[in-house]
Amino acid sequence: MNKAIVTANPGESTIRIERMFDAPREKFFRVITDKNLIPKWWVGPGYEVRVEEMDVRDGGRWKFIQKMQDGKEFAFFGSYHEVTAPERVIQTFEFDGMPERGHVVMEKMELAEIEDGQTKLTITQAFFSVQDRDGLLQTGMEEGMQNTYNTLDKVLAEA
Amino acid sequence: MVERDTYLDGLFGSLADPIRRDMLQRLINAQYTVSQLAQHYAMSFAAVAKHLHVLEKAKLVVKQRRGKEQVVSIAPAALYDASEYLARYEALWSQRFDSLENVLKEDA
Repeated sequence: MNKAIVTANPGESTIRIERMFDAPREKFFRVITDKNLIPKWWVGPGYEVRVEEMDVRDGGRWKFIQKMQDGKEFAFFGSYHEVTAPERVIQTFEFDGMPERGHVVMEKMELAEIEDGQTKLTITQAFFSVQDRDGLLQTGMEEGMQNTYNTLDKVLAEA
Repeated sequence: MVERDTYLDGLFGSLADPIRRDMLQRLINAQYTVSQLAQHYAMSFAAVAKHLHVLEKAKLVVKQRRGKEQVVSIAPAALYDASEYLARYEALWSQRFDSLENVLKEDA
C-alpha cells in the first residue's frame, strides 16, 4: 500500500502532501476531476461529502458540502485559477466553518508521470500565515486532542 | 521571529502568555540553564523561574540538575503534540487516498 507523506515544517506557512498511485496520469486526472466520484473519496472521519458545484476549468468554481453525523453542514469552496490537464491544477480553498472570512489557502496539485503507469501526486497548500496553517492542522481533531488542551488549560490556570 | 510566535500560538493555543511561548520557542532549538534563559528577559530571576515552573507543571519543559545549575529542555511531549497534529492530518489524507485508489481500480 502506498503511503501519504505530509510535510509541515515549523515556522513555515505551507503543507506538502505526496502520494504515489498505481494509475496512469491521464486516468488519474480524469478521476479526481470527476464530480460524481468526489463523494467516493474526498471523505473524512464522521462526515459525508456532496458536490454542489465543480466546474473544473480556468476561472471555474467548486463547492463541496460536508455533512456531519448530527446533520450539521459545512462548506469548502473556492475557484480554479489554472487547470492544465493532466499535469496541474491551481485553486483556492476556503472553509466556511471559520469564525470569519479571509482564511484562504492557495492549493497547487501536480501530477508527475512515473514509469509503469504510476502517478506521483504532490499537493502544496500555501497559507497566508503560520497561524492559519496550524489552525487548519488543528481542525477536525479528535475529542482526545481537545481534552489534552483542556487539561493543559486547567493546569495553566491553576499555576 | 514573528512567524515562530504564530507557530507556537497555533500549536499551544491554550498557552496564552507570550513570555512562556517565547521560552518554548527558544527551548525548541537548545537547552538553557535557568540563568542563561533569564538573561533574555527583562524581569527578575524569580519571575523567570515562576514561568518555567508553569511550563514544567504543564509538562512542556523538564528541568535537570547539572552541578549548581538547573538545565531546562523542552519535554518530548510538547514536540510530540506537533507531530501528532501532522499525523492526524496525514491520516485524513491517507483515508482519502486509499478511497481514491479503490475508485481508480473500479474505473477501468
